[in-house]
Amino acid sequence: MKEYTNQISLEIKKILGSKLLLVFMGILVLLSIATPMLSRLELFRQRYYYGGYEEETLEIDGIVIENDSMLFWEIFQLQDTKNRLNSEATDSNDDLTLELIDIMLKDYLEISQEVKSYDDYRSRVVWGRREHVMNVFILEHMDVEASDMEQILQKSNMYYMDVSSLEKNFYDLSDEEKADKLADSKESLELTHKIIITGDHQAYFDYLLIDAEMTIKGYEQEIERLQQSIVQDPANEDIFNEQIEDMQKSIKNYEIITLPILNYRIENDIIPGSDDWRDTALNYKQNALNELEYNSEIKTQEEFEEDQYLKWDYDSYADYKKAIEERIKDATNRLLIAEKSLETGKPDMEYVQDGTRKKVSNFLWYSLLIAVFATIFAGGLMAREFQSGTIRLLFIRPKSRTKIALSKFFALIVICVAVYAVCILFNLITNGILFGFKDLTYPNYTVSAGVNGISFFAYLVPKILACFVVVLFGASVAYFMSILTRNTALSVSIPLVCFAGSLIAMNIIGYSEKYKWIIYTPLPYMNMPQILTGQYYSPTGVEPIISLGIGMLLGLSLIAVIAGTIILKKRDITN
Amino acid sequence: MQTVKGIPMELLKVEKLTKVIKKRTIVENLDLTVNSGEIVGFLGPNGAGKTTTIKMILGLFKITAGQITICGKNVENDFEDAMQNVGGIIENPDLYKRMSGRENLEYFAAMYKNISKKHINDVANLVKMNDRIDDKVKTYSLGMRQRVGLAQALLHQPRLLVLDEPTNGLDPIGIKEMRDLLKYLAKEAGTGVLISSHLLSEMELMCDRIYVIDEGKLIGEKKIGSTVQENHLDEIYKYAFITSDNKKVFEIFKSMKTNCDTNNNETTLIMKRGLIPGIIKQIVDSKIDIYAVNQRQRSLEDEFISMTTGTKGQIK
Repeated sequence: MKEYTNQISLEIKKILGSKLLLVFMGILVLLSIATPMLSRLELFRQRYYYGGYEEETLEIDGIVIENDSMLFWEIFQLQDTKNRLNSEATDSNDDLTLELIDIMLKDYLEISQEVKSYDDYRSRVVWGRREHVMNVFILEHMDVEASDMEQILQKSNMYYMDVSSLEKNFYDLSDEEKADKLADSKESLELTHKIIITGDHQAYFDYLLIDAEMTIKGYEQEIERLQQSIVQDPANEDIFNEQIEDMQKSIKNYEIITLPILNYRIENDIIPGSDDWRDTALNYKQNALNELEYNSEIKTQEEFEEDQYLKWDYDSYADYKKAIEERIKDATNRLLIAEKSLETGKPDMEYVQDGTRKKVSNFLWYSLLIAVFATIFAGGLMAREFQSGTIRLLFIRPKSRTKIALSKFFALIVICVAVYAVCILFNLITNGILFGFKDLTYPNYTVSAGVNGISFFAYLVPKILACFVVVLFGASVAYFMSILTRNTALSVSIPLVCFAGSLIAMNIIGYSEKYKWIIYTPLPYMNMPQILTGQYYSPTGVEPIISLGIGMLLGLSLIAVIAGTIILKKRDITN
Repeated sequence: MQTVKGIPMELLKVEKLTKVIKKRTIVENLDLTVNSGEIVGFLGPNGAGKTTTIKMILGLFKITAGQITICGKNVENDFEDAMQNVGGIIENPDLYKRMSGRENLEYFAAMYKNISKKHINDVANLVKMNDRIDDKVKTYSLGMRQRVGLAQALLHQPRLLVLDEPTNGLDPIGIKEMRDLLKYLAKEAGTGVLISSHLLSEMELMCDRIYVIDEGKLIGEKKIGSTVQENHLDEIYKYAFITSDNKKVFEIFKSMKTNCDTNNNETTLIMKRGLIPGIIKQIVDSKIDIYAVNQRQRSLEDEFISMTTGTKGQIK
C-alpha cells in the first residue's frame, strides 16, 4: 500500500510537470471564476427585446423610446401608421382614425417613460388598456356609422372588429348599458393608469381583486344565461350543462386557489413578478394546486381504452397510471415544499434563481469539462510512454507493470479530484461574493414523510460525487484505449467521440417513446449533470434511474481499468 | 570482486531460453551466464535475436520457455527483486524529452530505495554530464542521451548491467570513456556486464568473453586473449609473408588452394599454425628470399565472420 502511495505521489509530480496540463488546469479554474461573473453581467443585460431592436431609438414629441423598451414596437407601428395616413389622407374617416391613433400613442408614450420591461410587474396591466381605450373611443363616437367604425379600427391597425360584433357589443346596447360599459372602461383605465404612474402596488392588488371579482361575476352571469337557455332549448341541455360545469369549476378555482393566494400576497405584500422569492414560491404553489385540481384525475381503464390520444401517448394503462401518479406525487411535493418555505421564511433553492445555491448547482455541468480533461490526459498516460519509447526505461524498474500503470491512473484521478474540488470551491466563493452567501444557509427540502430541510452542502456533495463518476468513466476508458492502441491520439479521440456521440444520440433518440429502454444503458448518464440538475426531459415519463446509471458507469470503469491492466501485464514491449 | 567463497558469483543465468512470436522462433534454447566482475559481449548480425534476448532478461518480453535468473531471482516470478539488481539500456535511450536530464534521473531514482540527490549528482558526473544535466533532454545530442541513458542504468548501483548497443551515437572519445567506465565498474565494483554491440573491434578491447548468436541460436563462445597464449597448432591464423617475389609466392599459395591474397608489399594467407613450417620450406625451396613472416592477431571480426559464414556459407 505504501509503495502504491509513493508511486502515486511520484506520478502526480511527473504529471504536474506537464505544461499542457497546467494550462488546462488554469483554464478550468479560470472558468470556475468567470462563469459566475458572466452570469452576473448577464443579469444586467437581461432585458426583454421586443421587436424593433434592430431599429434606432425613437424620438417622438421630445420623448425618447429606447429600442429595448417593451413598448418600442407598438409605438413604432402607431407612428408609422400615423405618418402614412398623414401623407396620403383621402378619406373623411381618416381624421377620426388619426384621433384614435393619437389617443393610443399618447397613452403609450406616457407609459413608456414608466414601464420599460416585462420584469416590471406594472407591465401586466399595460396591454389590457388597449381594449378599454378602444371601448371608450367607440362609445364616445356612437354617431359614427358602425361600418365606418369598422374601417377606422382597421385603418388604425390597432383592432379589428366586424360590423356585426360592433353592433352586438356597442350599437345595440341600451343607453344604460352603454353608460355602464363606458364607466367600467374609464374606471379601469384610471386604475391602471394610477398603478403605472404611481407605482403603487397596493392599487395593483386592488385591481387584481376587482379583476377577480369581475371575472367571477362574469361567470355567474353567464351561468345564469345558460340556465335560461336550458329552459328555452331543453334539447341541448347536456351541452349547456357541460359549459355550466366548466364555469363552476373556474369559479371554484378562483375561490380556493387564486383568491387565497392573492390575499396571501396582499397580507404579506408580495408583488407579483418581483424579485422576491416568495413570489416564485407562490407561483409554484399556485401551479401545483392547479395541477392537482385539474390534472390529477386518473381515468379508469375503460376510459383509457376509449381515449385515442392517451393511447397514443402511453403504451399501456399501467404506464399511464404510473405517469399520472408520478405527476401527482411531484405536484404534491412541490406544493409541500412551497408551503414549508413560506411558512419558515427559508426558500428552497428553486425559488431563488439568482441565488448562490442555484448557481453553484448549475455549475455541476462543469464536471463534463473535467471529464474531457481527464480523458485527454488518461489517453496519454500509457500511450505516450509507448510512443516515445520511454516505456523501455520504465518497465525495467523494480516495480511491477501493474503498480506503475495503476499509479499513473490514480495519480491522474487524484489530480482530477483536486482540480474539481478547487474549481467548485472557487465557484462557490465567487458566486457567494456576487450573489450573496446568505443563500447558502438556507435548507434544501426533500419530501418523505413530511418535508425535511437538509443543508445545501448535504444536498450538493452527493451530486458532486455522482458527477465525478463520469470523470472516472472517461479516464478509465481512455486508460484502456491508451494501452490497447498505444497511440495517444486514438486513445483520446475514441472516448471523446463516443462521449459526444452519446450526447447526440440522446438528443436524437433519447426522447422517443420507441427507445425508452435507453435509460437502462449508460448513454443518458454520460450527461449526469443534466439529470442531477433536473434538466433531463422525459416525455415518456420514464425517468432515468440515477443509482443504476452510477452503478453501470462504475462497473464499466472497473472493467476498463482491470482489462487494460491485464493486457499491459501480458504484453511484450515491442517498441 | 564480488565472490562467493572465492568463486566469481553468477549474476545472470539464462537457461534454455526460447521466444516464439507469432509461430516464429526468435530465440531458441539459449544459455548464457554473466559472472561478477566480467564484461561479456553479445554478438550477432542484425535480427539474430540479441535485443529479444536482452528484453527478456530485463522483463520487457515474456519468456516462451526456459528461465532467467538475476542474482538468484527469477525474472518472471520474482520480477521486482530481480530488477533491483540490474540496470539496462535497450535500443535507443528514449528519455522524457520535456524533462531535464536530472529530472529524468530523479524520476527513475524514486522507484528504488534510498537514492540521494547527491548520488544522482555523482552519477551525472560519472558519465560526464554534469554541465548539461539540467538542460531539457530535447536539446541533447544522441551522444548526450546515451550518457544519460547509461546514468539511469547505473543509478541504483546494480550488480548487473545489460546494455544493448550502448555506444550508438557516441564519438570515439565517448566510446573510450564508456569502455573505461565499464572496465572500472567490473574491476572495482565487481559489476557484471552483458553488452551487445555491432562495433566488433570495441568488443575486443572491452570484453572478457563473447557469445555469438545467429538466428536465435548460440553458435559460439570465445574467451578474449586466451587464444594467443594457448598456441594450438590447429588454430587458424592469418600470416603475412614479405619476400623477394611476392607474386610467385602468391602463385604457390594459390596452387595450394588456400585462402590467400597479395599486394606490392606482402602476400597473406590464412592457414593452420601447424602447416606454416612446411610452407616456409616450400618457399625457400623455390629460391625465394623470406624477409619476414608475421602472424596476425586474429580479430574478433574474423572469428565472427568465420562463425557466421560457417553456418550459412556467407556473411550476412
